[in-house]
Amino acid sequence: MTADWLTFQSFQRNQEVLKAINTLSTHLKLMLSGIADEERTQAADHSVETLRAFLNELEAAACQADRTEPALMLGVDPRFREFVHDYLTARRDHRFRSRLFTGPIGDIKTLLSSNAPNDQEALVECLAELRVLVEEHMSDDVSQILGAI
Amino acid sequence: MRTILRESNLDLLGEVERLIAALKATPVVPELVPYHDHMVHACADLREQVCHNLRDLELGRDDILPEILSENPTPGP
Repeated sequence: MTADWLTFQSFQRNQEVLKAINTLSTHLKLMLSGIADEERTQAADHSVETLRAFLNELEAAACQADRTEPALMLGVDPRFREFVHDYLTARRDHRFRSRLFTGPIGDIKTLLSSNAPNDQEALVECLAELRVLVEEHMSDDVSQILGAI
Repeated sequence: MRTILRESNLDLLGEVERLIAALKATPVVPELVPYHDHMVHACADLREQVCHNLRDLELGRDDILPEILSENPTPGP
């Protein structure tokens, strides 16, 4: 598989993740303010599943990165490896303060299933910071794609 | 910010609708019909997203502006 194709794949996946972040975050903010937002409920449920799958993948890759050299991570495509590296660097440098960057990734998967307002507020904070990282990664994808064109 | 987002979404809605109309009016050879259909669907999805953004903007809530902004296409580098 060529590097260009991997970049296209990365861009597409990041777009899906970004959409899931925005849909769920909007839904939670409206719900926390007492607005039912029934129109978005189904899309928000789908977003939870998308994010859960993404976090599972991130958790597995991050565990592997802790045990080995980043370049030796098996079954992880190079673009996602770079994302994992950016995520771990952001954690190490205390760039963000949400639980996604200060605690185990597994905690966020628990937040995704919770209906408690405190957990939902914590999840909104995690999603906002994850969005920053995903958008930065997407920006690199766009630069590479446009450069390739 | 809300005004800028609203104007940019209205502009985009107009452009997407013109593109859909142009695609539907363009005859294509049978071999290209699947690609043509894919493009029409992609444009319809985009139109739906823009309409969604406009509805969210009508809620008048500042706290969801970051999400709406993130859903808006940004110019490339």
